[in-house]
Amino acid sequence: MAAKALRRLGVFAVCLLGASLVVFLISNWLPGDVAQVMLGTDATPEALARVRAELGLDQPLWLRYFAWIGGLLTGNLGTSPLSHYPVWELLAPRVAVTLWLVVLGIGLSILIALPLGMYAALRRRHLGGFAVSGLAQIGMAVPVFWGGILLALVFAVWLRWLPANGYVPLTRDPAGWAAHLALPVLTLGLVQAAVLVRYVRSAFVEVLHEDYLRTARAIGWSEFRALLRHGVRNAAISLVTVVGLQLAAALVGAIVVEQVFTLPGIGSLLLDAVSKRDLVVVQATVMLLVLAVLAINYRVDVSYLLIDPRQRSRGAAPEGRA
Amino acid sequence: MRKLQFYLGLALVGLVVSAALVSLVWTPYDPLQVVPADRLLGPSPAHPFGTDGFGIDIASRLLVGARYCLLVGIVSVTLAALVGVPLGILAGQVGGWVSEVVMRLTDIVYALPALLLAILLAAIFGGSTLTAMAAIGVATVPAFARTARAGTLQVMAADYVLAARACGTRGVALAARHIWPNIAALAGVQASIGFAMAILAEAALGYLGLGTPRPTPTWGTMLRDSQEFLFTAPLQALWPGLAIAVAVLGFNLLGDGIRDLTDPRLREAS
Repeated sequence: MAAKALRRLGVFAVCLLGASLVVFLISNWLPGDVAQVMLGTDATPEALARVRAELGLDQPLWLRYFAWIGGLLTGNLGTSPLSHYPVWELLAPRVAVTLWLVVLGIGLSILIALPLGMYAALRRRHLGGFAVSGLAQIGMAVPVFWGGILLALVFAVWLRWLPANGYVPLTRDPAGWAAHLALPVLTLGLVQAAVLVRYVRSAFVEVLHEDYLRTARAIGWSEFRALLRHGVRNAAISLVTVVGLQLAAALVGAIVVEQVFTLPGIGSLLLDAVSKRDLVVVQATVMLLVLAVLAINYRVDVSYLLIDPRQRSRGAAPEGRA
Repeated sequence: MRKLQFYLGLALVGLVVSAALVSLVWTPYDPLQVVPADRLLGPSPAHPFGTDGFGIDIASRLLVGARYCLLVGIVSVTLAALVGVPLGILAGQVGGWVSEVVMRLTDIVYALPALLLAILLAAIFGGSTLTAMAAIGVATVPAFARTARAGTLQVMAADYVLAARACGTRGVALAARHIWPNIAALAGVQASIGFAMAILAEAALGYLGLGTPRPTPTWGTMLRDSQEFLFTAPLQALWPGLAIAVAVLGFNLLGDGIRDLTDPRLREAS
């Protein structure tokens, strides 16, 4: 088992290296022109020279890559040549906002999807199960930002229960914090839940066909009891993959949701940097998000080993339904 | 019952395709002509969906928006399939280190979701239809590669492949004659679902202001503009979102429908 966990750590490292190379090469696509892109066409030659020197653009590409990756590994994300702030200082106050949004959103989606998905699996030949599947299919088609706009329309414009934008830190005003996060979290949670319901349903439908479940039914257990005792752990294996994928998707979804509700999170920092063409901030923020996605996938891979004893001795992890 | 899903999907996709085709020859009004006197009109016989903040007929903009939604979908999914499917077949057929390399490459691309890649490209080149298509296309490659690989592995274990190999069929001939025909339906399902994802990504980019630039009407940018009038003209935010949802629902249903019709084993589970 240790060897398997170690191998997966190796895969994680290789992917991280590959992804960092991709991000670096794309952001340095225009050799030497990065300073021009950042400062615009009306920049003075002196300013261009200063930014070029600051970014080390006079050095060869591979040296710059190693300097950048070395900085990332030691926690130095670079300094924005436009605002002159270290990227880390720009990011720090925003990480909490995005984390709250993603974690609460995913939590909410699991709370919604798990019971609904189990219900849809148990009642799959009845109207109720059919209705849940249909609702999930419709929910999957709703773009996250439209969902956010509609919720803002109902709860902020018509009912005036909740604010439609802005953010207050938890430490300053817990009630205000909850009110400002309610709609974004609801938006992300509902949209993610629609996708999750389908996976929960098919995971449990698959389990319902297993022999051990038939045996449990044969000794007189109700389908529900059998599902709780034997089904959940078996379904969990495929569900862990999906929740992992969902976490990664929620991270990207958060960028859009932050925009809908003007939350000062990582996503709004990224989009702000894109509009200002602050490539140092863009590059660092994208890399941070990529690192998060890879780390989530790695955790998912390792958690198979913990949930499913069969994985420890034979076979590879089950392929996620992409 | 199963066919209902397929036909419903086909009908919704047909609706979007015909909207795009109609927009090529006719729209009720000029979708770019600003009419200050007609700002933010509600629905009326003259403007069934009303007018936007520039006084432009929303129905006309919705029709033209269908074009861009389909264009980005077609180009990015075709690109992804042309790269992903051969890679997946190669990985499944050859196995060993080739498969390992392909799978790790897909892992790396998976870490860069379409939206993130598109934001990165937009930061360098400025947002455009081209950067959107490129980013969505590249980000969709792994899904095709993994599906094709999984399908190929299944086909390679079949007796008819063993027979073909015993007769000396191998390499590209084996892939073309025996593997591709048997995974084509799987790729079709993936294409349809990938199309739905591409529409969502394109709309999100438009909403973030990083997709096809103004004044070209796309459903995403229309929603972005509508948010300004959320308190004064809330209906503005309804139509473009509804259009996106119809298109995405159509392609998702079509994909599920093809799967159910072609793979009886998956009927219960999906």
